[in-house]
Parts: sequence; structure tokens; C-alpha cells
Amino acid sequence: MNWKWLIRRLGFMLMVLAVAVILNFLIPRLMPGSAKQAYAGKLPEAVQVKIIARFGLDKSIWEQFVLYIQNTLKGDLGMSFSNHPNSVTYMIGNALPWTLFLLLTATIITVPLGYVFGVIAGWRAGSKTDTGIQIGSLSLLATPLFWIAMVLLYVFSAQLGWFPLRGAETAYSGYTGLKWVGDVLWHAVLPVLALMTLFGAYEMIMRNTMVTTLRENYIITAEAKGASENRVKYKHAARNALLPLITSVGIRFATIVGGSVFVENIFSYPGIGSLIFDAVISYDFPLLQGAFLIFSIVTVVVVFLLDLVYLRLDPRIRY
Amino acid sequence: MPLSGNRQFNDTDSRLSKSIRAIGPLFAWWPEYRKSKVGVIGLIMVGIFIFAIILAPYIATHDPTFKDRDFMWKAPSFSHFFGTTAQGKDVFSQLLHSGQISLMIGVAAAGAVTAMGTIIGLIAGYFGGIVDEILTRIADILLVLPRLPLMLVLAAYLGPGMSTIVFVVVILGWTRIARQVRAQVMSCKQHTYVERAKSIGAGNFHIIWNHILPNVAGVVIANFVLECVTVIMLEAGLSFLGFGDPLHQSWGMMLFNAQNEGAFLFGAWWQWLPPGACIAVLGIAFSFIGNTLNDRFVLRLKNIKGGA
Amino acid sequence: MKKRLVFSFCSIVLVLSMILGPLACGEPVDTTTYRLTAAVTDLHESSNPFLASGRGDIRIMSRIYEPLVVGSGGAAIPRLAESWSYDDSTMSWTFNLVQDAEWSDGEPLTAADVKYTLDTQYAGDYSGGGDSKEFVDTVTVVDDNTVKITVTEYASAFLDFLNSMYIVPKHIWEDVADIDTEANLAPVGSGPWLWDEYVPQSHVAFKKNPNYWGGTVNIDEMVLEIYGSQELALLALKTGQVDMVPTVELYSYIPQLLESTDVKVGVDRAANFYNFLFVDHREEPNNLPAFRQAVSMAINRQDIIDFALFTYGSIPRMVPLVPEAIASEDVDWPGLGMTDEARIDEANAMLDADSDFSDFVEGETRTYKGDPLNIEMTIVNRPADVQQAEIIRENMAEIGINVSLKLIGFGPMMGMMFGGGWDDWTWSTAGHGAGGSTLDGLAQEFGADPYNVWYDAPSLGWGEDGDGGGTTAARALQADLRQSRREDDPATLATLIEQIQVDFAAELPIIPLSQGNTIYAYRLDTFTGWAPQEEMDGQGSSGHLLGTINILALEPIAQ
Repeated sequence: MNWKWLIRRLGFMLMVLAVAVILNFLIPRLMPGSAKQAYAGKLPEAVQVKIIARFGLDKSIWEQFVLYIQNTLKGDLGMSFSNHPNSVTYMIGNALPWTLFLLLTATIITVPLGYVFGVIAGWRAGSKTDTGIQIGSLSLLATPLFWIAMVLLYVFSAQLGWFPLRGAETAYSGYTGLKWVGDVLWHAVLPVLALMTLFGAYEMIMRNTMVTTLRENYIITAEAKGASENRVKYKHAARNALLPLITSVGIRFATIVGGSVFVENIFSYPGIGSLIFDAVISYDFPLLQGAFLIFSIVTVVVVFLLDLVYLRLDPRIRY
Repeated sequence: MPLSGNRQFNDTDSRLSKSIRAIGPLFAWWPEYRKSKVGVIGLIMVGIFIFAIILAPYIATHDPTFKDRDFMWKAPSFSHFFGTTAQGKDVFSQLLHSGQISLMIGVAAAGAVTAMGTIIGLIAGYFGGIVDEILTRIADILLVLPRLPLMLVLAAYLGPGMSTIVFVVVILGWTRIARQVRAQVMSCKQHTYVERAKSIGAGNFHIIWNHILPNVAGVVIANFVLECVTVIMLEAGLSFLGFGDPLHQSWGMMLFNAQNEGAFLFGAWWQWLPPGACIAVLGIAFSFIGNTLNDRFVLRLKNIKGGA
Repeated sequence: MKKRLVFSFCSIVLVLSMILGPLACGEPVDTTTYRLTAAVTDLHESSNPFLASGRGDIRIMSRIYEPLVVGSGGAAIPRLAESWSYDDSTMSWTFNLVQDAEWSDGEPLTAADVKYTLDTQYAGDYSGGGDSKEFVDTVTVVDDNTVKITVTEYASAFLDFLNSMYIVPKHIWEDVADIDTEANLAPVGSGPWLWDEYVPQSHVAFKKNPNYWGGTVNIDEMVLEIYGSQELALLALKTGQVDMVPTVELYSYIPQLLESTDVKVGVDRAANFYNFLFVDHREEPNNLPAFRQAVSMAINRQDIIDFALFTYGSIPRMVPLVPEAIASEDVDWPGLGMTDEARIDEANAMLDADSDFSDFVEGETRTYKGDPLNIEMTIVNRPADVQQAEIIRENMAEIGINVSLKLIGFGPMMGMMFGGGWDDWTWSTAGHGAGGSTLDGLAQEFGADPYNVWYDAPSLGWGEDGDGGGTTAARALQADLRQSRREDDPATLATLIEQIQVDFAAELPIIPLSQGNTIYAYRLDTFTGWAPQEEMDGQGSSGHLLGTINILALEPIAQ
């Protein structure tokens, strides 16, 4: 284990979180309109007074900052305007599991798909198969995600009736155990499918790395030594191309998180993405910023977990 | 060696000879580029789009804002090629006019993103040291932070409109280009001609402008084209979320209106299929071009024959 | 190799489970329970009756809690109060409560609960009871079933204000530490429904209250499901996934709905609402009557009715807040009957006449005192509102005013109006119920005293002393409106009303756009006994089908 590298990455992740927190503090204070407006603007007067006291909005900027950090560490992200008297933390707590479920399911299905297609395309770069796969990936990447989601909803839910029109589970169903799991999966099919269109990104990265890797000397040596095609393809080439893929999963994760805003909104999925949309049309600043913060935390954790995977796979760092 | 070719001989040259030389490389990329079928197809597709959009006022069969009481939500026919919206507006004409806005925003914002990314990348790569450290860190952090939610936070404070969309796209979108430009600058900084220019006392600006910039042009142009796709899609997405300006009907606004009028589930496919398809096809065409440029001139994958 | 296996195994399991998922479920729940499902698009905001505002909350409040009376325009329907009277000599209202009402935890409902509720509402400055706190003096418990409320001024609209005054159990709320932050996720109420399950962003489910004092509910469960859009909600109704959509806002979809014989689409002409364009008079040039006149002149009202309301509406009477029956037909919209070009020319001429405005140049934005006329209009993100706003924007462009749109949710719009957030906008459109169906209602709209409802023009800064002019006219209009409340002689009243209309037309403190119909839809094959409109105790224009009277009348159809 290369602890030094790990600690450096950990430090970086903490830095990202710190930036997210500081941005959350600064944006309401730099933008037009007062911070009071952003924190308490649309709350009943009695509550406004309490919020102003709690976040020290009438004190100096430094005192505000200290209070803000204290509150954030305590998990107090303020009061939601549109869901008052529910706190931002309460709303996010309810929504987070659904979003994590969607995002992780989509990623876990998409990455291996991108991997396999990337290997196939990259192995015979320039062939008909390659061109076909490339065009497919590019098309998926160039089509707006919300449009794909609407089309899926129109075809499979509205026209064919195979999948539900809304939600993460049948409302008030009383399902338990396996039945509930089945119900949840049934509701997740279309949202996950929509998010899976991002698979093109993984395929492209895998393919491009494959192409460069295949020109390396050791591959040519392995081929010359008479290693079987599959052995060269998967053991030698693809394994090395896997590392950039894992890095890109981390980077793309931030994009998928953005995609969930559209997908959840269109499928009325009760996750953070829907919360963000509702917060946007309500100008519910505390909720919007809370959702941004929680998304940052999720992304950072995922990226860090991927770092651990990277560490296991990359011999250069491992030894 | 087009675009990213190393120009080893930079003498004190007059403006005139500079501009004469510039014409050469302007088309020098073509022999290499044309080897990629996909790239050529992409170029043709974008050409058709630009042609149609520029000639929109002449091609359009109707006034795109005219609401026809007798033609509400009518399917495609000879009088309305792509049918009409719930309000009786001609979809075909709207599509052409909206294309102007979409393409304009796409190119303008992508240009701004590219410019910002290039400048930051050049500064970071050329000066190195603490400046580089800081700029790279910022880019790394922005890359990990969820971009869309951050954009929405900013946009919510700034209020809706085109300028908001362009602003958030530019302020948060420069990282990818900056990273690539920086890497390119780092590598060509090592070259002897840069050292030599420094030793004879050439100014930083002079070196960047004459020696470094020509070498990163390939990366910049390839990324600019790819960025157009991202920006057009982001604009559509932000419009769909209600940050668009109905004054500037882009394809994204058309989709927003389609959803608002209930066209998706009503089955008025003619209202939502064309704008979505246009975004997709234009995006694919830009991707083809961008990827070809990237493959040919940045990665230098010369052994590839047909692929992108 | 091993990792690859694990990877592929995981993905296979996931894909398989997604395919098998639908097979594992799909059987209906228990067939003996009857469930009413309603599709709503508003968010649930709060189940704390002190903090409830907006339609999403009221739908929930009125299932669990009950007010003393439910009324609109003075015609109140008894609820927790079975009778009431007003005594002019003591200036007090007396309400007699129903005998056998009890809370869902078994405690009896008494006058003490009523006193507690009113006192808390008024003391805490909550929105329940509207502005009645302006004139309510004291609340006294006479006996267990009688409450006396003394007021400083008689107002028949008091009964209207009581609509949103949900009576809460004193024994529960006394112990609540902080009402302002109480989420109240296990409410104890007196209404026909018991709160059972709440999943944020998804649904609220109720079970029937077996001990409801007002009668037996024949439905076992009611679920309010939140749909992402009106479109989806209506589709769910058409395909039978929900039983009703209480408010249809996507007018363009109605023809599609009408195709289904199992769906009834009702147009509630009695619950008409008016759409207004509000302008903030505190900002120039909104304070100029000529500017407002030009704006009103340029608006194409027929377009709004055809392309935003899809013919489910009409052009409002001049001064729409005057009761339709007594409004004079002699006073009508300037510009009505003119061609579109003539109206735009006229509007342009009105602005060109003022030297503070730059002259109209095709395709350019005018300036006012050197500043370009860029105006942001805040609207609700509902289909009809957006379409209407777009028409206004197009019309304004024709007279050189550049309007941009800012979309907000319905809840926030209500919050803005009730919460006094008038400072956030310059122009805004909003619909409002037919508050002017009585003269008292009319007076409320424009009376500066003793109580202002949210949409009254003075709160927009209209008629303030100082710049802009028109102040005298504003005062005259207000005086006439106040006078109209006391006027008994029909002839004098008619003259007065006509004068009000003329004054209003001259001033246009708010600009009426259209008169819309309230539309509801339900399925005919799941329940019978949908009450006719006039018998429903609606909450504003949104809750007719969910009103208690209708719920009690509904009978499930055995499938």
C-alpha cells in the first residue's frame, strides 16, 4: 500500500469539500440580493428571526463564517423555503437513498458495458465494428438526456404501459420483502436506462486508451511471442486501459449526478435531483445549496472509493 | 505538419509574411483530415446545418411566431412540413429560426469557454510554479464538483436568461481545455527553440504567441468543436429547467414549450422529435469533426484508416 | 480475471432483477379496501396548520382538520360550528359547536380548542384567518360548545376568513415547544380522514376516520400522489391509474381527455378566476397611468383565451371584480373590437406622446428617462401561465418593451403574495378566485381599511402620495368602493358601480387579462356520487372534488 499517495488523495478530497462548503457560503453573499434574503427570504417572519440569529446574518462576515461552519458540521443546512417547516437536512435525508440507488445502479451497469464495447472497438480500430460502436456512443452522448428520458417515458410508460408513470415505488402499496424489492426495481428500470446513455463516455475512453496501448512495445512483444488474441486483448491491453477508465468514472460521476436532475424530474423520482428541480422553481436557496453540498460529498466519496480501486489495480502506485 | 506542427524557424518576420504564411496552414490540415470518412461526413452535416440556418428566413414557410387558430396541433402535412404546435405555430419554421439561436449560443459560449481554458492553460503551463499549482488545483476541484447543480445554484441567484446560461457555462466549463492545453504547453516548453528564444531575450508574450500558441492550436480547435456539443446540450438542458429566455427561442426552448404544452404524452411527436433530433444530429456532427481532429492531429493516430 | 467475473456477475444479477422485477409484483393489493387516488402536481409543503399556505398544504389540512365554517362570498357552510349569529349591540359573533365532535385520539373537541387556535393564530401572526386579526378583539369560551368572538368592526367577510382557520387540539399543541418549526408528522385532527403515511415528494396517504362526527365515509383510503407534471397526472387519469385530478391546468390536453368515455371533465363556471397582470407601482414607469393604459391596450386578450386557455375562458368584464350581474355593460375595454394593428398603433402612440419615453423603433427596446425598458415578469410555471406570459411578451415587444420571464412554482408564488414578498418582482401575473362575487368581496379588493387581501392594489404602491399622478383618482376609486359596501338603493348603486368602472378604466391599478374556468376531471367507473358543483365545500378554486361533502357522498363501484 502506498500510504503517501492515499493521504495526498484524501487531502485533495477534503480540499474539494472545503471548496464546496466555502462556495456555499460565498455565493449567497456575492450575488445580487442580501444573504438574509437567501437564507430567510420566504419564511414566515417569526422563523426568519430565528434563522437570522442562528446563522448570525446581522453580524460581521467572519462571525457569519464561523457560525456557518459550525452549523454545517452539525448538519444544520438551514430551513427549506418551500418545504417549511421541514429542514433541508430532513428533505435531503429522505431523498438521498433513492438518488444513490439510481446513480450507483446506473454506474455499475454502465461501466462494464463501456469497458466491453471499448475493448471490442479499440482492438480493431478502424474496422466496421469500431465505426459502428463509435457512432452509437457519439449519438448517445450528443442527445440531450432529458429528451431521451421523455422519449422512454412516452414509449414505454405512456404508449406501451410496461412501466409506471411516476415514482420510485407504488404509492402506499404496503409491499414488503421481495415484493417491495421487485416493485422498486420495476420503477427504476426507465430512469436507470436513461442514465445508462452516458455509457458512451466510458466506451470512448476505453477505446481511445486501447488504441494507444496496443501500439506499446510490450503488446507487440506479447503478440510476437504468440500469445492468443484473447490473452493479449484482455490480459495485456485491456488491463492497462482499465486505469484511465477508472479515473474517468470518477470524473464522469459528477456528470451523471447532473443527469439525475433531469431524469428524476421527468420520472417524478423522489431523489435529490427532483429536490433540486423543485428548489430551482421555488427559488428555495437553502435547499438548492444543501443539495449541491450533498452531491459534492457523494461525488467526493465515490471518487475516493475509485482511488482505492485504482490503488489495487495500478502496480506503479501499489509498489 | 498542419495545425499542431512544430514551426522550428521563427525569425523576425513582418506582418505581411506572417499573413502569407497563415494562408498555407489554413488548408494544410485537409489532406490529413479527409482520410477520415466520418470526419468528412461530420463536416458536410455541419455545413448543411449552417446553410439551412443562415437561409432560415428564405427557407421557412411561415412566421415562426404566428399562431394559427385553424392549425392547432396538426400533424405534418404539405402546408406544415413538421406539423404545428399546440398554439398553431409552424414547427418547421420554428426549427430553422431556433437553430440560429442554438448554434449562435453554442459557438459563442464554446468560444468563450475555449478562450478562457486556453488562456488559463497557457499561463499555468508556461509559467509553472505556484501559478500552475493553484490553477491546476482549481481545475481539479472544479472537475470533481458536480457541475450542473453548481450551475443551477448560480443561475438561481442570477435569474433566468441567455446571459446567465452563457455565464455559468463559461465560468464552470473551462477546466477540460485548460488541462489539455497545459499538458501540451509543458511538453513544447522543453523544446530547444523555446529555450533559444528565451536566451536571446524574447519576451514571455512573444514566446507564447509565436512559439507556444501554434503548437497548442490543434488541441484548442479540437476541443472547441467538442465544446460546442457540450454547450448546445447544456443550453437545452438549462432551458428545459426553465432558465431559458422565451425571447430567444432555441431548440432547448422548443422542447421546454413542447413539454409545457403536453406534446410528449399527447403524442404530438412532430413537436418534440425534430428539435431533439436536431440537437442530437448537430452534436454528432460536431463530435465527428472534433474526434477526427483529435485523432489525427492531437493523438496522431495515423494507422487508423476509416474510424473517427 | 476474477474481478471481471465479479463485475459481469453483478451486472447480470442487476439486469435479471430488473427484468424479473415486474413479474414479482403486479398483483393488486387487497381488493376489499376501496381507495381513492388523486393526482396532484403541487408539493406538499407542511402539515402544520399554522404554517399552511398554498394549495398543496390546504389539500392536506382540510382532510385532517376542520374550520368552524366553510364559506365563500358570505354563503357559509356549517362545519365544526353548526350555527352562528352576530349581535350588533355587543359587536360579537357567537358560534355554536357541533355536539359530538372529537379528536382522533379520543378527546372531545370543545370551545377551549377553538379559543386556543384563534388566539395562537393571531398572536403568532400566522396566515390562518387571513386578515381577520385586524378586527378580531377577543375570543371567549362561553361553555363547552359555545364561543364568542368580539370584533371592532362588522365584516361579513369574517366567515370567509375562517375558511383557513383550522381548529387544532389544545391538549396536543400546548406541549409543542416551537410551533414555527413543528413538522407535525403525526397530526391529531377532527376531520373525516386520519393521516397515515407521508413520503416526501411522493405521496400522502389517509385512512378513513371511523369515528367521524359528520357521517360515514364509504372509502377506506385516500392517496394524494404527486406527479411530476400535469401531463402525467392527466395521462394517469386517462389510463385509470388515478381516480381524479382535482385541478386541470393543461388546457391543451382536454380534447384528448374528452375522448375517453370513462372520464368526466367538468367546467366549473361558478368558480371562475381572473388572471391579472400586476405591476409594482413603486417602480417607474409602472406608476404612470398612461403607461399602464398602453400596456393594457397592447395586450391581445383574445390570443390569451385562444392560445393559453384554449377557449376555456373569456374576456373579463371591465373591472372584473364588480359582480357580473350588476356591472355596467356601457364601460368596456379600450381597444376591444379594434384590429390588432390598430391596437398596437394606438398603444405606441400613447407612449410616443410622453417625452420621457423614447420613440418607437421597430425591433428595438424603448427607453424611459434614458433607461431601456427591460422588465422581468415573474410567473408561475404552469402551462397556461407560461403561454399567457409568452403572448404578453410578444405584445410588449410590439410596443418596444422587452419582457423577460422568471418562472417560479405555484407554492412560492402564494408564499410571495401572502408572505408579503412584493419586493422581489416588477411585473407578475397571477390568477385569483372570484372574490368579487359579492359587494363585500369587491370592497375587500380595493379597500385600504380595515383589511387588505393580498392582491389589493394599494399594497402594490398604487395611489401613494408623491410622483406619478393619479393619486386623486385612486382615492376617489377607493372611496367609491367603500361607499358601495353601504349602499342599499339599487339605482344609486348602479351609478356608483358604473363610476367605479370608469375610474378603474382610467387608472388600471392592476391589469385584468382574462377570465378563466376552473376545470376538474374524474373517472366515472370507480366511484359514484360525485356531488354537483354547487354542493361542494371547496377551498378556493382547487378543492371541490376533495371537499368533505363530496367525500361523504362518494360510493365505490365494486369491480
